[in-house]
Amino acid sequence: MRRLLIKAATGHFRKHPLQAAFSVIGVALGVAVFVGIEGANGSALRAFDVSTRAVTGRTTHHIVGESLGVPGDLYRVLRIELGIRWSAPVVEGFVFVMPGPRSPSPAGARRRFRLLGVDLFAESSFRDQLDPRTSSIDLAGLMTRSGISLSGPSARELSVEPGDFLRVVVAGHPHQLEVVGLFEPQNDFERQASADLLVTDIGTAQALFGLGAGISRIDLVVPPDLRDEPETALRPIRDALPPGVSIVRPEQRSAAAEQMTRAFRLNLRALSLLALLCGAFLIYNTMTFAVVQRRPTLGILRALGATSRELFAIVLVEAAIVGALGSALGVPIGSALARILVDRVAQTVNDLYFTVTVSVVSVPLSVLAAGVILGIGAALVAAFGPAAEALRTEPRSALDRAELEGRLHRAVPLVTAIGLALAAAGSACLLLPLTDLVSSFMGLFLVLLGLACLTPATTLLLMGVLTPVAGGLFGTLGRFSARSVVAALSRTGVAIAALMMAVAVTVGVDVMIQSFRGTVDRWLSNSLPADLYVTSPQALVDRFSATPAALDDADVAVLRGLKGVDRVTTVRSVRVNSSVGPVQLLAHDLVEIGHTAFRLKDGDPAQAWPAYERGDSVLISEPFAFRHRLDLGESLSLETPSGVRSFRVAGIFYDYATEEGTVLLTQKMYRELWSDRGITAAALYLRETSQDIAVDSAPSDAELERVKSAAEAALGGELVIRSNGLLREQSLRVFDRTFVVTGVLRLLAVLVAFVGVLAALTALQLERGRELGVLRALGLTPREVWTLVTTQTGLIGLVAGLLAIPVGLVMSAIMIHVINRRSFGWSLEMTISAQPLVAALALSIGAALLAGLFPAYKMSRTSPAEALRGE
Amino acid sequence: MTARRPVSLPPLLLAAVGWAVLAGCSPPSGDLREPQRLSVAAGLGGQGAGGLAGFERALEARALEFPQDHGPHPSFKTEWWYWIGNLTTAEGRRFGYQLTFFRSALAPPTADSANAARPASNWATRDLYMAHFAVSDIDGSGFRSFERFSRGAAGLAGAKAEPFRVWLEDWNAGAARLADAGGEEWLLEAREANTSVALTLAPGKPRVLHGDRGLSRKGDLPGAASYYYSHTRMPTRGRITVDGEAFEVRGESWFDREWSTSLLAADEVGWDWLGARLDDGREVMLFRLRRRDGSSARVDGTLVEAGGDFRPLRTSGFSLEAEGSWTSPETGIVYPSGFLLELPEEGLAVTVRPLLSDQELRHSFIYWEGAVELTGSAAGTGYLEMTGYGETASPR
Amino acid sequence: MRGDPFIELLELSKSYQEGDRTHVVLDRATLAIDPGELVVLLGRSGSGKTTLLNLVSGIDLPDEGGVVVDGVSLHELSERERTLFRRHRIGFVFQFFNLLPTLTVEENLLLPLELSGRLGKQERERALELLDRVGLGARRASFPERLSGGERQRVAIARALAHDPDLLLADEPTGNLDADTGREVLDLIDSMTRQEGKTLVMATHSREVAHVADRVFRLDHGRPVELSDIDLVPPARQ
Repeated sequence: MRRLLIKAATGHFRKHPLQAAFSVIGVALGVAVFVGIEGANGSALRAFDVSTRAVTGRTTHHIVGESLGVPGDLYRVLRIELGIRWSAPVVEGFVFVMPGPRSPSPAGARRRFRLLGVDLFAESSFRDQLDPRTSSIDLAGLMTRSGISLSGPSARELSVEPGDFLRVVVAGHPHQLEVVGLFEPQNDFERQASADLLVTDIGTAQALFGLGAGISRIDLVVPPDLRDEPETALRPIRDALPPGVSIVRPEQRSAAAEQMTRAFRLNLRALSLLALLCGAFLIYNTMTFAVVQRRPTLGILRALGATSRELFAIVLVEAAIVGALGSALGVPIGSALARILVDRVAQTVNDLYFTVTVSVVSVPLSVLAAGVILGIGAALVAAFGPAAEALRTEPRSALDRAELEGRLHRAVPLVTAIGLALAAAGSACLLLPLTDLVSSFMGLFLVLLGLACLTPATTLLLMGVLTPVAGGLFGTLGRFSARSVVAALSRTGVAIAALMMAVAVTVGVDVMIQSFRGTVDRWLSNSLPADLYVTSPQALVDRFSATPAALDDADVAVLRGLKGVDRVTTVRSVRVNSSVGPVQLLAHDLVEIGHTAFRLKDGDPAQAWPAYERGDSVLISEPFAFRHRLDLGESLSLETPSGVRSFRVAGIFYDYATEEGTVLLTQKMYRELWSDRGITAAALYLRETSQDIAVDSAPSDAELERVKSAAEAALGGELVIRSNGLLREQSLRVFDRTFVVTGVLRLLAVLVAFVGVLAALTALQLERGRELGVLRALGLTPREVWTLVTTQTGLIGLVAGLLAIPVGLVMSAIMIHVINRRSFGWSLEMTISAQPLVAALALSIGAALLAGLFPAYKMSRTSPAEALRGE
Repeated sequence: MTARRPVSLPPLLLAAVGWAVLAGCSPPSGDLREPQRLSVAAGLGGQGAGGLAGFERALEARALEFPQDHGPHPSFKTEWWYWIGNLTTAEGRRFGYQLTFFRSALAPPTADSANAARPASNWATRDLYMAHFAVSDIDGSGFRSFERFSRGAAGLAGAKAEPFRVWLEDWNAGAARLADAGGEEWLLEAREANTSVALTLAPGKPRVLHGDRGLSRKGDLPGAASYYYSHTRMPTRGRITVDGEAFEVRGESWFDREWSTSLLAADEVGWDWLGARLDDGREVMLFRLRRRDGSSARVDGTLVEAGGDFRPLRTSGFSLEAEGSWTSPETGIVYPSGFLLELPEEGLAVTVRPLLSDQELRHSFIYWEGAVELTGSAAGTGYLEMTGYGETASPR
Repeated sequence: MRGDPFIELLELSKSYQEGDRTHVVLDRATLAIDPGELVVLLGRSGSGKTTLLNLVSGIDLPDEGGVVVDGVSLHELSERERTLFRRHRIGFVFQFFNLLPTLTVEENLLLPLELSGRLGKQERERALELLDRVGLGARRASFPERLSGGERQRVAIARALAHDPDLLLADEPTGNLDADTGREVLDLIDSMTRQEGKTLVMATHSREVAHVADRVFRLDHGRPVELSDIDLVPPARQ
């Protein structure tokens, strides 16, 4: 009996495999997007973790200083005077490697590597991934010929062999370093760990980075017998540490990386869940159809004695099967997607946060499992409504369709009320003074769900307007098309909601990106007043390790002396310890040019800038203020070599350069307190060359090029000299790269919605077969049937597009004003232009029309005799 | 004593360091691990990394100058400071100790000028330091030994002549104060795990120059020689700690000092070296270079009279017969468990017997170095070194 | 005798494939129907009545043979031409009424007119007059779901005549109605087609309707066989 029951109940899907297929595809896409994003995120983060561990090894603690590292003699004190033999000195930093002579890659394609300088004699217990049993390291070469060793795969990528010289640019200066050894990774972990690693002697690294007597840090491995009480072991060390030097745990580094990218990853995850949400709509859609269309069958089954529970179970099991199939399909697609996305994600992480080279992409089992659970879960949740509908089926043969639709229409106010309630709850999440991102995304999802629930009501309203219009345009046939959208609201409503949701996502993301980009563009224009910017490539990539100064006072004097240069301002960028942890300190010399490059968000410029110039106050960037919850007038303590100094926050300025934020201090005060005369970057203002009526005093390209060449010639090395235009362009390119992933996701969400609309319309036309048969009998030509169907789907698209615009704007407003603020603390100005809205409408109608093509084709081909034959 | 030290450290170090370094099998406490077994003889051939070109050679006798010659000789490839001694507690519990510092250059001095263009670092160096520290608790817990490496830079390891000091991290030997009887007292300090020594060495008998005024020949080729001097009988007092238990000890130490650039011929696989203090106040230094087949390639030595005069050992009629054998349970290498030494011209016929069978150092390279006693025509104590037995057993 | 027949079935054959079995519905059926004639097709369910109607209306095509309606050989027309012919010349009444639920009574009525492109003021008035005549003038703004079965079929009859077709095809028009309503509807069809001078072909399984017919045929083994009056005397009247 059970077998027959199931056969009778599920015959629908066997008869209409496309319907089931669409659902499976919808789930698969949703799951794939989720798995892909999680996999890519995870791989990027793991790559960082692994390469951190590769250079951390078994280290239990790091002794770290500020930007300038720790004094090298501290190691001697530790090792000899304190007898701490579980210590190892490290110099670490980033360098650029130019391709080898035999490399097929273009000459300009330089790669970023982590240069790890170690004392091999102290290393015995620290880093064991680079097993020299499978390598050949020439110690004499390493120690006396500035040799480096690298992993075999990297060497092959760079086309170098032991004995070859690698061209390595360190802190802007080129060096020829001999490859004296290779280490062969034995597994994926080692491959990942050594993908971006150059190992050299600490002396070589120290000299290359120009650290003087300093080293980056000292690694400690607290012996196992002391691990229980590490503090006891560490106390004598702590007592010996000079100011500004502290002991941290290596996890803090990975944790910092994780923390840094948390908001970024969370945002991507939310987008992937949005795709899954679209997928869930799809399942809801299909299952509703399946139940509604099987109503007679289910009714007969009830009459024959099947319990309503059994029918409920059948629907849920069907959904679970759809979910499982979709997940099974989505997981491999997602894994493949992860491989595609990981480069984009890694690129963004590189652009925004820290250097990472992902050489191994693996999607952990947990993510795969989560994908499967989400897929099946979404299917079950989505099918719950339809299943409940099946539960209510009365034991009689057929319920009039019209009656069903009537009931739905009567339910519209209730659905609308639920939608309003959801939206209100979501708004509460967003408006309450909460700060966590999870509640923000909850809020966003609730608002979106709520607005989706308003779809039936708004569709009815819109169609009230559109029906006469369609009637006027296409006569009764047009009215007929329009009416059927409303009449089949149980079907069209869901399709419209799904399409609306996907289009709204694109509108929301588009408007958000556009607003973001506009804000950043305006900010860049304002904050790049100089004509040329000089810095080292090093300064552009380093976030974690010591940033050697690219320039010194002599260099600046040279720059000042160049013909055509009017003024030069400089900045020193360093990481220092503060009362809120390590912070990026920018020591600007703004005396000559004033402060117009900074726009204050909080604080009166008339008071803030004099306070800043006095040196007793700092200015902090908006994300910094947000991140550390610092407000105007509060104080921030910085650890200086001469002790902890407290500064008042005199102003908060707009800044979109980094997510972690920066602190502004006068260079005069910085030099006084830190005794560091290094300069990270210099900005050149060229003399106004205007001969006659110079309306635009911007120097000509030729003049820029001339001064640039002169500066390059004067300073030598591999300094990066860029015009403000180029800098701005590059910054915006980075910005655009950042949103590539978002764009991919948006596309996938649209794809899911498209499949949804296709499924909905196919089903809709499927059950309108008889109706169309009547029309054909009454004399409708196949072409007219085609027009009828496409008009209808076009209307669905139009309605979805029209509804998507306000919903998308609400979504982008939430992303801009709530999620972005809670993630990164940036104020963005919302910019709405017609283009994304028109595009959304076109997309929506286009997708609907495209989705209507197949059903229309099928319907127009169906013989009316066939259609009329009925049951 | 001479030939005993591995001449060409770099390949050894290369292996040892490479292994220890990145393989990281050894926790910093210095627990024993499976060391890379490298053929000592291969290293002795002189084909070290970078070869010998550019280094100074011990070509002819020259007047050694002090204190300068206590300090390092960076233009030579290899040198060492070698302390060994036989000590007892007031109760008569016997101890032996060894504290040795090796310096080995990774590149000749010419490399410095070649690298002059590159920016300097106070961590950069071409000198490696290696040290061995061993204690033999003859009547107690037996033998233990330790090994360390460091760069000769950044204050981590090094040597200097004035005031005399050689150190590798906190293993340290050097001038402490002027001795009551004239000359300097030296202080030796080394600690590893639960084992340590802190000893004060008085000058004792005058300095002995081996060979031709300190030029000790190891072969017939020019340059196959080293500069070599010793302090053969240094009154010693201080404290030895084994397994955390401290003992006040007294006794006598032997200090060997040698620098060179190349020593052994290709067919020589090892050597036996003896430094013995006879009860009659004389000291004997004797070494024998051994070929693969066990035959003697070269025998040389120095006899120090009780009054401090010294002269080359008269070796005609020399014989050194192994007495029994001992197989190392760890390495499987078979060593003689003593020798019958006959020097008819000096009127010596003595049996040299290890005070402990196992005084094998199993580190970057493997050798036996330990406290011995002499019986026969003369009695005494001293240290015996045997190397290259692994090669003899299984020629490669 | 008669002039040219309005409908001519020429050796009409039609069969359906059901699995590996061929089900012959029409087997060289031949029939001629005069203009203005009211013909009833009797036959059991599955005897091929609906197929015959579909072939006459050009909804379906015969395997062999042909249909000529008013001198037009339907089987020689394209799909589109057949549809247009149907649109202008033929009215349909179905067993299940088949009103479009999304259109009002009036809109259902006007749809065929609109489709044939003849929705002028005059035609609209005529159509509404038809609605009055079927007694549902007051319900023109209602949706079909608000009407009873009989009312729906009356709307369907009005719809079938709205665009003034020459030929009315009715497939079991009373099949879904109770006996009394069925009779009313039948009378309505009869009176309206005769008043308008339309040709009517009606398929039914009920002998009761035969009394209004000019000629009655029974489909027997795929061929129409004309029945005499004797054959048609309803048992109730005997």
